[in-house]
Amino acid sequence: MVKVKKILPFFLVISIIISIAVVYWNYQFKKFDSENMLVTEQHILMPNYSLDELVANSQYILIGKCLGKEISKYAMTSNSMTGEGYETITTDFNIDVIRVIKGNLDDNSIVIRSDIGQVGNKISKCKEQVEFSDEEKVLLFINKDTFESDNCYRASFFIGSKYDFITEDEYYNSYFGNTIKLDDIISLL
Amino acid sequence: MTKLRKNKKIAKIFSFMLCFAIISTLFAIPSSAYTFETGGKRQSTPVYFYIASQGDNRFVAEFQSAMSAWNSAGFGTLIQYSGRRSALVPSYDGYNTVTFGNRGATVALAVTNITYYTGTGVIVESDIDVNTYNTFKFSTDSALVSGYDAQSMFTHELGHALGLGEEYSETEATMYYSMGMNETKKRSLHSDDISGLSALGY
Repeated sequence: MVKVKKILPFFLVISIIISIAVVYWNYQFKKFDSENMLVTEQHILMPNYSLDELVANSQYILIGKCLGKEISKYAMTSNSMTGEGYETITTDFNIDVIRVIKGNLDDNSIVIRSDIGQVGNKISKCKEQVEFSDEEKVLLFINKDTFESDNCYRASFFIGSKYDFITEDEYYNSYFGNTIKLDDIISLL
Repeated sequence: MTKLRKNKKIAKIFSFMLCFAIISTLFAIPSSAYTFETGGKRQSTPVYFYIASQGDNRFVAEFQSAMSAWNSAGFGTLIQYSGRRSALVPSYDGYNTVTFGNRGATVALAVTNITYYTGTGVIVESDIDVNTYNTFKFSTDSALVSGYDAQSMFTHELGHALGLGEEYSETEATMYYSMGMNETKKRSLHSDDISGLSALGY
């Protein structure tokens, strides 16, 4: 009993020291980490775009559901028709194709590549790039990616290419705050 | 009996201390790295800008007019043109540069890449990439020419270079997020843009 009494303050001191050390380490770690996170934030100036233009400038229009996303990596971007491009951080989203509205798309699942993500201590952010959450059902306006030979596609009008499911006929774009009807799209084809 | 009670008490205190140590440790372990929503502002002004030699000469005059709009906003010289340099694509290379290229029908008129460190939030570089897939209109063009006003585009992008974000509600603001064909209202700063600069602490 006397031994335990002697050991008790020792344990108390040790546990307090460990707690302080871990808190201090955490503070240092976060400080170190935050100082070394290099963020590139893209701001995209978009032209005013009508539904007619959106339909006309999209090779494919489809309804799909997000199955998940891949780990971010460096890949060519700009989606140029001329082949001009440069490497940047990208994230691939796997989309299950439910229904094709425009274009001959044979694949049951496709990849939508977006110029956002994190690789090491480098982060690429952009409010205008498309992002998907798991199981999200969407209406998409897309074009084939210029640099990727696989089933890789790009949003044809950034965030303006993604409409969230309301009903089978109505879809909503949270960025522009507008709703479109599937029939309106079909009438333009 | 008393000894047993004392032992139990000690065991309780010991368990409490152990729990305290474990919980403190768990709370202290970082769950993820954090980032700020947007970058801050420039640490010092003027911001020196280069224009890629690959770009049309007419863009230089439009850039300088856009620069004047921000420099006459009452915050001193915020942006300064430093000349031409060779650059094909935007890259984090220590130079604030305007690059040009046919980026295709991705429909962006221009993109500004703001680079900053999360720890400080201070913008360390701003690069503007102009998508020449679009038809731009210059001040020297006749009124009949149709296109996206280059000066308006640069005025908007330079706002980002200084740390301003997109404006979504004030349609008259230079920083309003979209631009129409032949629209020139972004050339002049709106009170909302100036308030933004002031809020950033320029």
